Amino acid sequence: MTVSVLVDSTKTRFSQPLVWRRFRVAKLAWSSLAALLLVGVLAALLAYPMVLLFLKSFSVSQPGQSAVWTIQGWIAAFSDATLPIALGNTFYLAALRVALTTALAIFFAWVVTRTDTPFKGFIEVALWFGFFLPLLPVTMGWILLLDPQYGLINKWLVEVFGLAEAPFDIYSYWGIVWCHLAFSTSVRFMLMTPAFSATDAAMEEAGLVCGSSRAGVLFRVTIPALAPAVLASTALGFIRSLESLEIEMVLGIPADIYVVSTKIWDYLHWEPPLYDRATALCSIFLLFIFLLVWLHRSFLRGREFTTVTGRSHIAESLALGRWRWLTCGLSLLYVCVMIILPLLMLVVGTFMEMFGHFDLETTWTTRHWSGTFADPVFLRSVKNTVVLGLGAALAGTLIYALISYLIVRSELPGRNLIDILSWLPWALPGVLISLALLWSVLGSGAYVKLLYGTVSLLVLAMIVKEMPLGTQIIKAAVQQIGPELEEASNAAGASWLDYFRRILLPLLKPTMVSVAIIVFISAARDIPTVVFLSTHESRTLSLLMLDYIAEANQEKAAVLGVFLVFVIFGFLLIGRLLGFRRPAVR
Amino acid sequence: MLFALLAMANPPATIIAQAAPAPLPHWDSAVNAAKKEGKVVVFGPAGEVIRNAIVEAFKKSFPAISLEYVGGRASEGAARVKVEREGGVFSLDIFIGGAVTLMELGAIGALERLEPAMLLPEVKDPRLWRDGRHEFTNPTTRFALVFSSQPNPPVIYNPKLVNVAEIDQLYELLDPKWKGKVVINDPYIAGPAASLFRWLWRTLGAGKAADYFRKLRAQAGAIDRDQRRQIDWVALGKYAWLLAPNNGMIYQLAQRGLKFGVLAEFTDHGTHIGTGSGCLALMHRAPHPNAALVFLNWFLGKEGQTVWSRALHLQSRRADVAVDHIPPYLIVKPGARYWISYYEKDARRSPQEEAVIKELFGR
Repeated sequence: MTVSVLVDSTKTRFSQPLVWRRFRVAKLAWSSLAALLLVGVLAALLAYPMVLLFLKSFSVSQPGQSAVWTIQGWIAAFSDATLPIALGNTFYLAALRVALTTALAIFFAWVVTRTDTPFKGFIEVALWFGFFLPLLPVTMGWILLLDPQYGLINKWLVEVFGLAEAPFDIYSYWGIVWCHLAFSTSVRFMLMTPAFSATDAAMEEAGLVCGSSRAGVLFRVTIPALAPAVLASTALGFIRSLESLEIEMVLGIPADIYVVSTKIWDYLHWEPPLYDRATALCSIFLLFIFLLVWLHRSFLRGREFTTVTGRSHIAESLALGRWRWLTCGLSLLYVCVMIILPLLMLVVGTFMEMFGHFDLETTWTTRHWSGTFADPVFLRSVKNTVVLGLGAALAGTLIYALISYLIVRSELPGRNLIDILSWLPWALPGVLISLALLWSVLGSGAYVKLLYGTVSLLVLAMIVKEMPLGTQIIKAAVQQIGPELEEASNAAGASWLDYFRRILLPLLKPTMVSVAIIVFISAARDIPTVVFLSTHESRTLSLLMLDYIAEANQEKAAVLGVFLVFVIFGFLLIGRLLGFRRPAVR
Repeated sequence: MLFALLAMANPPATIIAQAAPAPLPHWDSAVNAAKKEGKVVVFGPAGEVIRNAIVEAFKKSFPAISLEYVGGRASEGAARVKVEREGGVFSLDIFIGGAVTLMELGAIGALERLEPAMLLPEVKDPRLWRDGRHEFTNPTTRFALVFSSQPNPPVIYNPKLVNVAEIDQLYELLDPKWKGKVVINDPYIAGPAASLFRWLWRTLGAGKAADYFRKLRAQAGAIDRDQRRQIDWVALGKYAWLLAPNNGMIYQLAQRGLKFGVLAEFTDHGTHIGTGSGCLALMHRAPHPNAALVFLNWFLGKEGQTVWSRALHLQSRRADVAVDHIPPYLIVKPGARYWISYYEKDARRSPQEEAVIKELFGR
């Protein structure tokens, strides 16, 4: 069965009443100005730092000296004989991760939003927790369980089944994918869930009436109708996978598995850092992003994916019958193994003198907790983190919504450029974004320089860093909303601001809440993006974590990780109490 | 614009531009002027212990001068200084870091000669320092003073798996019985392993060293960069020994109860002395020039050096700072011969050495 919502967009564009088209022409001048302003702001925020960074990668001049241009850094980076192997590893790991997490995220989003699976509320909350878990401490937990020499699960299996060798090796391709699974699936789930919620059940019912099975409806109606959200989250997931670093560093290097991001890390940690070579390698990501954007746009061009219209919206859940226990069992199994087990390991680890060492004279202690809270800079770091997180989440989400609206709904020249610009920050690792912004801010006028050393600059950096995610996901949500809502609003005499504030934003609320939480967490945890921009006064919890890691005290860093989980969960609860919840499925 | 307005409402502490430095004052007038400046900004190694130790001790001595301690990786701190200077911003007064980083900063004119800033007799007097001299990473430019240096133990081992007599000579590490059972700290990037491999290159000579490195690489069960995990692995018995551990970290982890043996030096080749983050420099156009002088003289005096030494368990180059809190393997033995790794002339690998390291460890 073909999807009923896939219609030629030209039909809606040219079937509008003449009065309405005249009104649009009059409005065009204001909208053009707004669009131009936005393009200008984005160019200043995104294109300028990036162009500056790439230009600097060709320069070897020192402060106060005239510029000396060279392509030596680029030649050195690309003549590295091991680069093709690293590229192969990068794409192999990314493809594996994206394939698995796409399937899992679609399954969980469908279970939670479209079915009558028992305990789906718990499953949803648990999946959100999967995103809150800090990556590195959780990876340490998996190492403790799955190390081939001393991993507790491996030892137990060898002992119970009399195996000759450990069945699992965490230091492998599959080990890397496994450790990424909970976090990546949760992000994809969070990004897809609002779109699944906004799907009109009437389309699925039509599929069932036409004789399709439930699985057939899922694959031939529900998922194709959600193509923008699924594709955007897949594209974002793929790019994120290409750039992924922490787990690859911890698990890949002992197994000689190198990826492009670890090679970039090498250059950044050279003494002195080789920023030119690191930037050169980032051009690989940039090219791939352009390719992905082109594919994404080619696929969606000429189609509409409206699922939220002026008609009444049916959000009936699908009755699965006895199969609902299977979906429930599979979901709970995943939650227990991938989320609750690592969470427990993480919490237990914070109470161990040294994580994984059960034979010390003092194995258990609370000193990591007491020491962390007694640190004189702890409170200031918490305050800065909350300001940074909230600032980036609130301002960022609003900015992303505006950009998304302009890209999807306006017909102004420059909107394609905005769309492409919004992807750029993911071509660079956080350290280089930080450096590029530092160059931009300090290379600008005296008023812009005032930003340096303030939390505002960190907020700006995080808004830039998460722009691809925020914009693309909200863009997909805007694509689901029918243009007739805006037309009706205009016909009723409401201004554009009224429409944006009273119709569009409430409809986008579930997606915006998801994006805001992701941005908050990202801002609270991010070290590389703020490393060049923060000062003594604007220090955040993530930089406090860096202090602890520098002293080989990963347990204290994990305390901060757990603390952040609870802070974020607290904000989530407050959000829910204030009414920011995904519309319930009947 | 919104962010610029926010920043103007809450202006940062950063000084945007500075006038040329005034002539250096004497100690008393420096202290008085420093009190008026109100603060000093110091970049140093990341870490809660060292940050809190220095900030609290300095506050006790000079309550009217607030110390802003910016902790981080020295190479990132240097990169930031470069960009700041390109933009006409001068935020740091003092830089504490490694020899190579300070060499980079010296090369771009970001540092002042240090000796004129050493005002207090206890800091100025070379007789109060080890070997009766102030040690600079470059004796000609004299920008970066080495205030702390210590021997680097080349190997740690698991006593249940290794008898120390089996590995206390350099070539014993190549014994086939260790094949696949040992871990090597990655020498490809900056850190203690890069320093150890440079020492071996200089000690053995290019030909022998290249051959030794190849054989050593073939012995490795793992080449790793996580400096805590490597030590964990040895303590847990996953690997028998670790080459080129981080010397600061081995003591911290031993204090917390991890059990492993430390080979202080090879009986046939000794070991090398490094400085870690133990170099100090005064920034050119420091935003708080008088407070910088006060901090510098306090820190290089007995009190400041004792604070540093006790916090990190590393030996100061001051002869009057106690060493009773430092493990024996991190104390320089008088009269012993060590290869010194922190001189600028030895800071870089030769092209041939670079090529061999890249071939064996670059991935």
